[in-house]
Amino acid sequence: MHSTVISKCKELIELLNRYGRVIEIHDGALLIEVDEYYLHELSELLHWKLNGYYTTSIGVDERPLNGSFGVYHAFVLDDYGYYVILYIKVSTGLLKTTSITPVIPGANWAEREIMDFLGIRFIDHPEPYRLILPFDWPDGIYPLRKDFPYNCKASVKDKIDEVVHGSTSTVKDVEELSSRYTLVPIGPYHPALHEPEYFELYVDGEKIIDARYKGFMVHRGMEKLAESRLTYNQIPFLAERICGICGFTHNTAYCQAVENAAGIDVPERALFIRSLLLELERIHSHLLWFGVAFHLLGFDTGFMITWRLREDIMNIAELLTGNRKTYGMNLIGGVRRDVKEENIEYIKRVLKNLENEFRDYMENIFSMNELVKRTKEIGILSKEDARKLCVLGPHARASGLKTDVRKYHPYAAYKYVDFRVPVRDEGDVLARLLVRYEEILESINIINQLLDNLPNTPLQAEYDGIPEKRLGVGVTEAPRGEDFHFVITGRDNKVYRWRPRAPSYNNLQSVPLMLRGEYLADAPIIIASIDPCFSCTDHVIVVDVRNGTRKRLSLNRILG
Amino acid sequence: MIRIIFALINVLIALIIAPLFDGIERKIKARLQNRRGPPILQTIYDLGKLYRKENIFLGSRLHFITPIIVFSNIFIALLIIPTFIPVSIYFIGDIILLLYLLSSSSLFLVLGSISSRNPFAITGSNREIMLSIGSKLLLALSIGVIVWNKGSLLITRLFPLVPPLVPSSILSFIVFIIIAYIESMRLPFDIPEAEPEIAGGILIEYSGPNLALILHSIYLKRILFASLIINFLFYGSILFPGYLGILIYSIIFLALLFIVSIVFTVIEVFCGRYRIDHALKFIKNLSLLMGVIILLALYGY
Repeated sequence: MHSTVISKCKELIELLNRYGRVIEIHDGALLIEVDEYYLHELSELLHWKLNGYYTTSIGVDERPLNGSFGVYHAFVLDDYGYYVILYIKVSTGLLKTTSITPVIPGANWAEREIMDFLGIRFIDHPEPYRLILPFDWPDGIYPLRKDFPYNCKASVKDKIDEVVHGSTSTVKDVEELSSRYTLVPIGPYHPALHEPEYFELYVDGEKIIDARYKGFMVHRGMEKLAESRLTYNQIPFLAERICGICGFTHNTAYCQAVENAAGIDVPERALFIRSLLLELERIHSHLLWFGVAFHLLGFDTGFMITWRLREDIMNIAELLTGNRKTYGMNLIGGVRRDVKEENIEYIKRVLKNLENEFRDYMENIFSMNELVKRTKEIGILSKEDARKLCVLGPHARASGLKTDVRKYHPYAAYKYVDFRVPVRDEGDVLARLLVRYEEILESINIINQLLDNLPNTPLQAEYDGIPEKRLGVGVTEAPRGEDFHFVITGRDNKVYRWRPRAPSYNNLQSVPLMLRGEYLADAPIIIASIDPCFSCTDHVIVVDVRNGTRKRLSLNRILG
Repeated sequence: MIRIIFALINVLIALIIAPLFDGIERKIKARLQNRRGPPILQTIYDLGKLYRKENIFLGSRLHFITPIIVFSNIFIALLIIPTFIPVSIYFIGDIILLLYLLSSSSLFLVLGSISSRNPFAITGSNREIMLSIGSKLLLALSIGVIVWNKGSLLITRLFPLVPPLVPSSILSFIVFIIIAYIESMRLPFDIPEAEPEIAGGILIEYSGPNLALILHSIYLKRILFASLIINFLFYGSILFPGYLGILIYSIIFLALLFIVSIVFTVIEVFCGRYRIDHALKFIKNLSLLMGVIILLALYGY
């Protein structure tokens, strides 16, 4: 069986060689420098024909290296176990390239982000509007270019253009909608959302006619900060602060990217500890999400129960790392603390109790009629749409896509453990609940296996500096889906380019689609059902955001 | 004259007891959910703080004035029914006035809320109207059947429910209990405010004393319905002569109110929120049952 996989991979490389020179940048990642002319054909081949999926696009200002800009489109081939990155050179004079959004709608945001930050135009992009930069950001200033200093404060524009950004329509379209239907704003501050984000719902009575999403309100400029003034081993602590719930998965992905780029072999015990903490974090995250979901359904008892169970997980984390959340455990090449033998029994006992209690509670809850009624056949995302929008993680698995980084691109210690990937075909909110329920049980199973087989090795790899101009891809299965980190190494102990892409970035794009035609009362649970992590999505730039003036206008129109 | 004074004392006790009961309910809920919960007096503190705050005028007089109308409706309704002391201000047809006061309080709440023109308030009002059309009709019908069996429009003559022991009275009393639950804005029927969905809905634009008035009238309404339930069951049967007798009656009444409130709270803890169409379907099914009960009553059962 193993030989068939190898021959399959050979075939793949031969196939790709026809489009350009294939370089294996490290284990499991291929880079092809392709001509723009083949881009559509190749994207279609990778995304649709080879049953892979598009992950994200990365724009890099490579002028100090080779005098041009670079755009990287990353694809995942689960069947082959490869990440395939298409590299396109964009000349400084023309500053434009072909968009792949017409072929893969999921590429919409990533390409607009590159347009905002590097000023590279994408030809044939269906909505070439601003996505991340605010209305009053001056034209012609692109913050991720290397000649833009990280501590520069751009002076904002006085006059604000009438361009709708972040929404999926033109101004005229929105005006027509808001004249006919009631606009119900969900956000930027709303009890159902726990982070500032904005959903514009056009409502006829209780039915949602159309939905718009506008995000990126709390950008923090992490990429720029990391590239400009942090060293390799400082970034894990910044990366962990991308998200308060799934921070560890981010810094693991970052460390893996750098380790892959530099060819560092991490000792096994460190890998086991990473996996252990990743699974703890997954249980924590899912329990937290269950609580939020129950609260949105008005079932506060379930909310309190799951959050009490979550307390046990935080106690374990405290015992292992000294922190209840934001573990601060990763460094490049290993982890910072060991797991003590005397704690293992305690952890197992707590997890056993948790599993029993959790099972009992959830079985009771899933037999509650009105809760099932509120979630069944609500917010359906079909398998085709899920493929089209490249959704990830439990959200994709609830729509029948069998994808899991842990299984198909094993990292950390996942190749040593045996586990199941729960998949459901219904694609509704209930399916997402059930997938996460099963995942928690699987995670407990994984942790037990890891604790039984902890190898005895050092915790840190010995390595001698990190070579420059190397590419690295680090991927983890975050609680919300595939977390993708891309690194180009630089000199002076700094990264040249670091691009984290959190799973919610892809998942959020599916929300407006799921909201259409549903009841207003179901909107919060539909939005929450993807477990949106807005802080993960917003990590890009520091601006004093003055929120959408135009939106306030349209609201005023309704208020008369 | 003494009757009026006693009735006023009744309402004054209810004004304090209602938020206190809400505080106790919050505590019970918290204990059932593995929480410590706020102090029992928390709701009273909250109301006290809200009453002392500045009243904000949003530009709509209707919006500004309706909380007082809503509150006074409930206040007057409480004068009509006997509570802690078994006296009330009664006259022929007071049951009709009671129904009128209850429905007009909902109506004015919605009117005030809509006039704020907030989209969440509009959605909340929409839901409140849909819900209360169903529940108010059922309320009128269920009391109507009891009136028919008792043969009197005087509210104190309706208590207690038996005699006469007829199935239609018992059944409509059960419907009445369910309606009492729906009317007291508890889960799964708190759809008009639904905090996680529409951010407080009908209450969203109210603050300070106006919000306090509306909240207070919701708590009073709970006491009102619970008192009606207790009166239907026990009115007059536990009254001893003399002032001491009245005192004992008051204490027993309070204990019974407490039991009703605990039962309702426990139900609430194990519920999620209905969507408006699910709630309407529930009321529709209840109406079908009510139709059967009316037929029963007409044929003398």
